[in-house]
Amino acid sequence: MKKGNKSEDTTLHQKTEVTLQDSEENLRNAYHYTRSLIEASLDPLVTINAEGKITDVNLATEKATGFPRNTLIGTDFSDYFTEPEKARIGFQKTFENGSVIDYPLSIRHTSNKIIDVVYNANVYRNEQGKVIGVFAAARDITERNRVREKRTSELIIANKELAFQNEEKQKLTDELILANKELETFSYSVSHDLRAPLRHINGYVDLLLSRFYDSLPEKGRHYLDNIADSSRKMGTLIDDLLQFSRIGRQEKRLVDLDMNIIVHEVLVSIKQDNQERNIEWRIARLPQVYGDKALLHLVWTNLLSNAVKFTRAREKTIIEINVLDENDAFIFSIHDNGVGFDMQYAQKLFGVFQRLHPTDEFEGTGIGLANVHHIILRHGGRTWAEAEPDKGATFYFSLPKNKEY
Amino acid sequence: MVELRTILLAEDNPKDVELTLEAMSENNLANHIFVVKDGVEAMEFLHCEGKYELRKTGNPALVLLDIKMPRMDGIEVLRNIRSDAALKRIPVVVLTSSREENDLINTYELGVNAYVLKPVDFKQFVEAVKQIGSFWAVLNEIPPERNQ
Repeated sequence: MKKGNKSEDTTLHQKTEVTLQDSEENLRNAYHYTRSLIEASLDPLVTINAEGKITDVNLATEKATGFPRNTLIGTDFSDYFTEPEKARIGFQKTFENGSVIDYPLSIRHTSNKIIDVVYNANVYRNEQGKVIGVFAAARDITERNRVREKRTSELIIANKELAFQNEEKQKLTDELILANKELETFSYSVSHDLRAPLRHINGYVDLLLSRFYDSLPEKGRHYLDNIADSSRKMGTLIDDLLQFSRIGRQEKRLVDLDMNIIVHEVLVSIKQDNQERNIEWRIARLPQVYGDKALLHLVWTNLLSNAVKFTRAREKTIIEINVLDENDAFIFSIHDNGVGFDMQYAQKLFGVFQRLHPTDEFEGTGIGLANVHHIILRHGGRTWAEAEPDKGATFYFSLPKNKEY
Repeated sequence: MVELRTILLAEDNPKDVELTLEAMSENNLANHIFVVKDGVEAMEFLHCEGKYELRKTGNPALVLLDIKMPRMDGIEVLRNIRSDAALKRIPVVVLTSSREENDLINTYELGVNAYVLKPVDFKQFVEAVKQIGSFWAVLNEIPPERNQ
């Protein structure tokens, strides 16, 4: 019985030992597992006892401070920060509140390199619930700070550049205002000072012709006629030049416009002036545009009266107005069956006082297309033309659809 | 015969003066024109001061004013006339080469009675002067002068 009992006892004992061995092994395994986790952390982890002495560290802490584990353990945790006092306050706070989150500190490495970190810390307790220390985990934010600082300094530079650009822009604006002012003064003197002598020439020629006509020889009268003619022409040139300069200075009043209405209005007066002509108008349905009404009126007036003018010799004139929808712009075209022109002179067309036909064939100062070009440019568009001598001409202009010009 | 009243012409350019007088004489208005060659003289004439000290007082029926003149320009003359109790009712017509928008705005703001652009063509110029002269110096009624 006893033996049997003993035998039973032994078995039990053995069983207990095995169980104990198992649980010890389990515990060791658990320890190793947890330890490996702690060591594997890239964040420096540290435990500190109630007196502020380091009781445990992980590999990341060794790396962050440059000290080996056995040096660190037992020393005051605050010694390893650039601001020990601030570190102690954080420690204190953890004790008071049970935890701190994102507490910023800087670790000083043995190499004197500074590592910016934020700490998350919790108190830990014994089985009785008494607080016996602090677990602290740091996160290296040096890179984050470096990136932030870099961004900040980049932002500062960008701001400086912007300020410089604004200054430059202001300078340009000032210069532009000054240039406009000068142009205004110039136009004023053109309008006043150049017209005055012209008026005098006309006046005296007229007086001479009216008072002394009978005593002038035929040739003398002819000379005076030419003087009068030239001075009249100069008057027109000055007026045209003034109008041209005014187009550049004038404030644009941009609104939504129905191009059909503008073209219709222009046509009414052109037809009025050309009643004797046989003109077939082929006009496509035109779109709504965004622009200055008076200026676009001038564009159509110039282009359509040109088309009428240069088809004068045709028995039957055909003038076509079309529009092309080009995604971001409308392209308008005016085609006529008139005398056309040689394309090698095309680039001259839109210049001030440029003419491709002799004055005695087609009157005009050569300001019309310059005005058209100027106006369309101010609307953010382009002007161009295609033609062939005696085969007619097509004039194009584009108007952007967006309203940002 | 209709009574013709004095016209004061303020004009610095002698050719313009001559042509204006020619135009007036073609319309039998020349005898009643008094010519000054800048704004300062115009004000002296109106105030009977300086070399016009001995002028018999009385406002002209019309001041014909050029804008661009030395010393004091036409706009300044207009401003002085309109701010003077004894002169403010005188009809003032600007006769100028300038079709500048600013001049138009400024003179109308100051109460100009008319703004006429000197036509480059002499026949038109004569016609313009004739109309101005016959309207302002003959047809138009002016209020009695204020006692100073």
